[in-house]
Amino acid sequence: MDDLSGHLRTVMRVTFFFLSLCFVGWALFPERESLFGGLVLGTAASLVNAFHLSWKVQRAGANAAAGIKRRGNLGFLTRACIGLLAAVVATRYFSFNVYGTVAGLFVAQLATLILGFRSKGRSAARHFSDERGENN
Amino acid sequence: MGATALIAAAIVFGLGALGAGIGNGLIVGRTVEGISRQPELRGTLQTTMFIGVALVEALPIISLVLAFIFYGEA
Repeated sequence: MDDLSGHLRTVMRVTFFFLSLCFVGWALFPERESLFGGLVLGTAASLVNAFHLSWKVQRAGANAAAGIKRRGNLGFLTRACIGLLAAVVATRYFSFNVYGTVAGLFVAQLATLILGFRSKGRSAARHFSDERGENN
Repeated sequence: MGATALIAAAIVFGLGALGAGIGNGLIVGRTVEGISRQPELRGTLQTTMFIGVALVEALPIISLVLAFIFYGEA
């Protein structure tokens, strides 16, 4: 398992944990159904976005490593349309809170950022102690 | 209200997309350059690129949804 797959697996775990918290909140506070429903829908869309981005990043990396000169893109329009689709479904079909959906669109990105900084900090600290000979 | 909301939608998504385009171009360009120079660091560079692109792209996706809301208000 390479670095990116492990990172994505951790992001997926954190996002599913957040989704379970949203469902628990939905069950405990039924009067806030529109907010929690919007959060669930936005979080699911953001998880799909994270998987699509990782697929595109792996493809770009493979092309660069193989020395293939080919025009490619990162698929931003697809991810933007997934976010827009989540907002449209939340407002037109379920009458969920659109601000909750927008907040949910942040979840996987926020998890990626926080977990990435944490893992980078850990690896930097490990390299620093390696240089001092503490792990030898 | 109608014309103002449409102008707001255009500005919010236009500026968000402009910033994301510049940021993504810088991130992807440097990562591809790094992988080409040192293919053995591909895993680390890909993870860093993933984190950077996720950070950059959060804003325009949110701005697109906000523009959609403004458009609906118009």
